[in-house]
Amino acid sequence: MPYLELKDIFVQRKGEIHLDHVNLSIKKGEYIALLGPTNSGKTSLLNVIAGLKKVDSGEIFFENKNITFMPPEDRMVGYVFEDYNLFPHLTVLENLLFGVKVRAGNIEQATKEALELLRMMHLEGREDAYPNELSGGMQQRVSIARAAVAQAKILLLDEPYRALDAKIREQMRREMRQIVKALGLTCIHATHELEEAMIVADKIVVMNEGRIEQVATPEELFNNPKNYYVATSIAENNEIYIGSNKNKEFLPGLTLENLLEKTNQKISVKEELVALIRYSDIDIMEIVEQSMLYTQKPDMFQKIEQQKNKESIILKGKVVNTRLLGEYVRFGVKLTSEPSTTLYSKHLLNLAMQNYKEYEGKEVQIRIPYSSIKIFKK
Amino acid sequence: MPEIEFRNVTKRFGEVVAVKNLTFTIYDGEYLSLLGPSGCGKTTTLRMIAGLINPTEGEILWNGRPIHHLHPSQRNIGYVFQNFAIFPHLTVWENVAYGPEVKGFPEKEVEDLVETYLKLVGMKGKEDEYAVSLSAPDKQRVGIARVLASGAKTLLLDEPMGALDQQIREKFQDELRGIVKKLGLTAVHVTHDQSEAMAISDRIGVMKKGEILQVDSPLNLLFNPETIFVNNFIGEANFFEGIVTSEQEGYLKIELYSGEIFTVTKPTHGFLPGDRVVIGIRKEFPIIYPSDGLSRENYFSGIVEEDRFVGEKRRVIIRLKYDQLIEIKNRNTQQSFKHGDKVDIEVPSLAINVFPYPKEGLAEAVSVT
Repeated sequence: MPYLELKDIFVQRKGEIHLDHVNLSIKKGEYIALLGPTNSGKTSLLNVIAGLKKVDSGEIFFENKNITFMPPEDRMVGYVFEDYNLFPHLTVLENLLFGVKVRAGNIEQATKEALELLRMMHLEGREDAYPNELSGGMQQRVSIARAAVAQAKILLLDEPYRALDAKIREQMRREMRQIVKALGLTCIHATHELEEAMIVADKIVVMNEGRIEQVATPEELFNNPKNYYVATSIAENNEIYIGSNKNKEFLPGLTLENLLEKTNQKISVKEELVALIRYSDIDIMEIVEQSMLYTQKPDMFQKIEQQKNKESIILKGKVVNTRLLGEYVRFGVKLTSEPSTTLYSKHLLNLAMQNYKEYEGKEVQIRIPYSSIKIFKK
Repeated sequence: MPEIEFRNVTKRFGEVVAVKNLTFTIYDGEYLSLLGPSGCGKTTTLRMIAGLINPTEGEILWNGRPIHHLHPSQRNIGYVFQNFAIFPHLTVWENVAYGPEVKGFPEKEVEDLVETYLKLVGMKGKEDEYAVSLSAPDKQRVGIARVLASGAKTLLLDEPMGALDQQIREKFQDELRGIVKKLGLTAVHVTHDQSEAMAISDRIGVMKKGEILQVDSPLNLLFNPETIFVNNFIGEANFFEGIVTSEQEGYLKIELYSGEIFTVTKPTHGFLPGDRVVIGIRKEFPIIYPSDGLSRENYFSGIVEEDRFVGEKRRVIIRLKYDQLIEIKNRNTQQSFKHGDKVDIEVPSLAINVFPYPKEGLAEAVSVT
């Protein structure tokens, strides 16, 4: 049974469509990430759930009850904004208890719970501090604790880390998931960052121009992107034009016909097609072999590599450029045979890459697993 | 000849120490970036080079002479800001011509200068457009042409890509580095973006809390960090405590508190048997195998806690002896483990960095705040 269900939600303002017939169903205790660029509808969707934005048509159900027209204050939704929205003149504890006081709830019980939450969130002893005495990360935890104390049934987070430094953001993401899971909250978290969505969420909702493009676990999303939009928004891809001819070689020695046979796929070729291959799916053989130098278990390594070779196309090329990108190194390889496209290969750093620049101008072999070549209409 | 030399430079604002005892050199013709978390003192450092503020202690030498002997106008410095210091109501041409005209250059020379630099930054053909109507990258191109036309030999860049979209940044980085190298300029570039610093710089100075921890090539920062902070700030690393058990010509054998033995083949110096040390292991380097039950040197054994797919890699968290955790970024996304799987983790001996145990404690040494 879905906990929260959105049915055919449509919202427009001044002729501009904010949400375009959105259907989404969320289970209790799920951590959902809404992933999309600015103006893709993430914030609109959160606002609709919180009751801060009226829908033009469609219905919202919460625990099977229609809440489409329920005022926001009755929805038991905890909304954590980018700037945390804590009352600056209240202490941490007073902030946590604010909602309970307004509702004339049991203060004694709530205080006990609040102190327990602060302990869980590593904020023990900070109950009398004012928000401006806390770091951004701490303020955010307080803001989540407040939603929990107010017995929010759904936690909504809108780009919660935008204001934080990159390094702190990394820590916060993991902490956030742990906290939400430990409290058993149902959470919807809007972000424009793929890695953030991947780290925090059970399921990712990919949004684009007010529509939902795909709902999937991080792994499903990566292995089976539904369309061109999703595939290109979750990774950097080499894009190769195929057109509508099944028998034309789009890579040296490989036609669409061959590929479909090797991967047991059926695609009807009516439209113009393109092949997408992720930078990170292409191996440069010399570099893979080099990393063997470092292992004490060469047999196991060899076995894995042989298996990969069998399931891949191996092509000759020349490295035409290299670039260090933080924890990745990227190589541009121009294929020797026609069609002599330049393909990019992106490798997570390894020890063999200290000499990555020496590969410039070198002849290399690249390996592309057949299963990593995805065909889409554009 | 060293161009800009910092000697024990400290800057205080009231009680706050913004920059502490900086000593480093920016060489002639070098592209140097200053990288660090917000509040680390990188912009203060840049402003001192520009002469916008003065050090509280220490001195900055300019070609061997104390900088305060030079009027800011004699320093030939061009300052490029994130938010494009250009005149919005002037055309592209007028913006670039402004500096040389103020200096009273003859008309022909102004024209030549403007033409040269507009061509260099790829803005030829857009001379008559108003600055206000330009795209963000074009505004920044004009900003750079403008400081170059005023005769700048040293470029100071404060987050110059801050307002540019991710897609255009890489191209812009290449353009900017190309211009600096072509003209033989010296550039000092402040950024918080690691990829940007790596792509654009000859060397990067990593700063933390007002101090400069290491000034080095991007590759050396990645592979040979000198401090625990740098090892974890440039990427991410796991840290374990142990004791040096033997030392031979700089090669160490280390026994962790949890009992594992590691051989370090990367040369070290100054460590002796009995020293308390921390080893740092970047999260990309270890290799995970299903356990075969044997124990070896340079291996951990553990039980998989979580294996999470995060796009182009998997993040695997493994519980080791005594509830220690290690996190590994696994490029092999086809290799997945289940919670509870027994695994062996190989740490190549060249992947281990050794640090003396920090006086301030491990957590503080890693912390960015």
